[in-house]
Amino acid sequence: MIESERDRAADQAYRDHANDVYRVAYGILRDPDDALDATHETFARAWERWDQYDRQRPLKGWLHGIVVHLALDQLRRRRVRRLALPVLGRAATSLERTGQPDPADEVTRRQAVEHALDGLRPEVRATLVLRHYYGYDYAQIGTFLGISSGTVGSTLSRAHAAIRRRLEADDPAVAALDAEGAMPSAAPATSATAARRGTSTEPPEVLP
Amino acid sequence: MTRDPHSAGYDDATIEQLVRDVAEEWTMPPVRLDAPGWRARVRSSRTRRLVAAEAWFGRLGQAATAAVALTVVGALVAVLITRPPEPGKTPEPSSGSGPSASPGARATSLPKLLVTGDEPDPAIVVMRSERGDFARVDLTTGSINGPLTGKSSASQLRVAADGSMVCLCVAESGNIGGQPTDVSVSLERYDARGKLAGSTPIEQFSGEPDPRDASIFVPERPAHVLTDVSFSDDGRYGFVGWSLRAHPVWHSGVVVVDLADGSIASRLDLPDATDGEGDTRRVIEAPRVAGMIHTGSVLIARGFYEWSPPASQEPTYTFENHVFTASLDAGQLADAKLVPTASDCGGSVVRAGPLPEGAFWVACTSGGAELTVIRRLGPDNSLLGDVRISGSTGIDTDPTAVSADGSKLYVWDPSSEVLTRVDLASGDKTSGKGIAAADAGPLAALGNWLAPAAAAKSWLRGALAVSPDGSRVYAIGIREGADERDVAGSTGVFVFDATTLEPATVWQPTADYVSIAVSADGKLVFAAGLPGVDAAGRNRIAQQASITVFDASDGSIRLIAGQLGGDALTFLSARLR
Repeated sequence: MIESERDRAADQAYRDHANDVYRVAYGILRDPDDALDATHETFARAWERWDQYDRQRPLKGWLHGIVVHLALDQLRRRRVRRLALPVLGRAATSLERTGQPDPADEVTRRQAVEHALDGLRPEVRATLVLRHYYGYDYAQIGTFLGISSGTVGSTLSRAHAAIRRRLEADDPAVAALDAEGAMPSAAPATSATAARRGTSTEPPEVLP
Repeated sequence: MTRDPHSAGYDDATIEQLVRDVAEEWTMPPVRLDAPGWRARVRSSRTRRLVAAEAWFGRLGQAATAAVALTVVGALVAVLITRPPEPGKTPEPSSGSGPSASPGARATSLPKLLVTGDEPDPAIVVMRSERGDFARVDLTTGSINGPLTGKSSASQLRVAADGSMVCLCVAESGNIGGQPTDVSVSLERYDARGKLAGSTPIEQFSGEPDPRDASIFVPERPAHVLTDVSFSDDGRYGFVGWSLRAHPVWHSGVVVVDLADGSIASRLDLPDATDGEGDTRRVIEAPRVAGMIHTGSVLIARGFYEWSPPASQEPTYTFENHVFTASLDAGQLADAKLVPTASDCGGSVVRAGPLPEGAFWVACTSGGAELTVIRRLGPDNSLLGDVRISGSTGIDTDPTAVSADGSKLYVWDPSSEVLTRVDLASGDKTSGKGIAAADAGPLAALGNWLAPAAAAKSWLRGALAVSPDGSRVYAIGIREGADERDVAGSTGVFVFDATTLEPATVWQPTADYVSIAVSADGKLVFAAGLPGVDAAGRNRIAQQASITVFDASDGSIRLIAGQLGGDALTFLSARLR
């Protein structure tokens, strides 16, 4: 393939599949910046290896194989501090919803699932997304992750159990949050910073 | 969503659906400027494409006759650009969703130089480059000269009215855990041509790694020493905020530098803070002078963050600020006092200023444009009230600007195109919505410059600027993708009447704008465009960084310098000297 054709094909692949690649990367890395980084890296690698792509097979699957490898490798190599804009965004949104009841239980359940996913190993999160969102079979997922089909099944089973436990454990907390409702905007303790902590911390100690 | 009514738990189908639901929301954010796209990564690892592109640019650039011809052609084209569709009018805003080129139009690169009428004032603009250094752009030739200093990105540079420059330059050395252990600050002077005229050492700072973590790998890779440099509004002083770890605490302070002679006018040490206790680690960031809050008094913000456990790949982070007031008299910075009521204002303290009767305000942002809080505090630091302005997610920028008289703060949401004005004394806020982006109008004749606007970007440095007379506010708009496949793009420069907040017009983009500034006389508006993308934000390797100069009176394009290299360029401030 001459370079211009490869460029066009890679451009088209990016337009068609960037978000699908990002979704898997985010599922593994749980950080928007890192996931974006892995997404771009995936397409750069794909461009470099374009001649290796088997056109008889789905392009998205090929890209998913690359991103799973890259994201897991990225986790192993480093962890970069980030500002976590979406986290701030959620905090801000919740603050702006002052006085409004939570519109749907699904929202809080999804938050609980997000929390549950945070507690799982990256490979497990990848398995969940590849299976439940993209519908890959166990064998394909096993190929992506370098594990057996049986391990994929048992991984999913344990992941479901972990999520289930978290959902059930979080129900009372969610209800309590709903009951709290609004936080007056003038109160100094209602900053986005405080809200994004997730867990409360003592005020910073400033030594004399 | 269904839940098994016979079980206290959740069945597998429900969990699978929940996983799908949450994963559905993991959509790709707008691409950040500091996170190179995939093409840039290919380019960096394999120079072939860049070499090919540079060869093309080189051929174009080397041919003087070609440049002349280009300018002539450009001048002819400029007639089309500046010719209003009706006498005395700029292109009217459309009722549509944005500028659109003819179907199938392919963007071509902006020209090296396109000038109509007199050369702009200023004709030399100093920019910060993507790599953190500085460069001079000569708008009379469309050329760029840089980097200037060769120092770290923590350096700051100020341009004087005569074009000379002074840099508080930061050089880093040492390396433990991937972070420098030593920094040295110097005052460097450059003449108007960018030639180094002198250098004066100012101060050195050294930090030590955390001894508790000497035998473990800390993925966070925390800093050991940090600096934050800024200048006083009158240009007399430079402020060098610094922090360094000396376990079990962080020391920090601010050094005031007299820019006239490079002498140290004063030093202010701030209270030490712990570097974390138990299983928590803390980095104290360098303090920054956020603004004058009264005559002879400034506000200093010192951010910090914590994470725990220290060696975790996925630690829990917290972010907050220490906020202080301090006296500043003839360069003497002293008497720091903690303002506890301001510490939780938001993720970043971006500005501060005075209010009547000794009160003051602090502006904080969280998540860039996501949330801006203007906190008004009394003379005794008591809370007078908060004004909260929420914006779009995922846009990394300081969305605020202060009116010329300091009485109002503008907050811009580049995506929803809403400009909010806050009366700082009363806390009242008023909002105006930008009008729909203009049709291509005369620029349609150059439709190949104007790729169809499509989507959004999320990294702006200088998103809005207030005209010197305070009558107008100029703001860069960005477009959210219509769907998840859309890329980022610019919606142009929005022009607001600062009094009524009525949108006056919008100037369509020639590039994917990332930074905006106004000339000192207010007659020209400068917009910097990103390299590697076209106006619609689509990857376009041949497009270099650019500056477009608009005539503020009618929005006509006075100049385009379209081939300024592969590094993104942003203005040092919203007001060009």
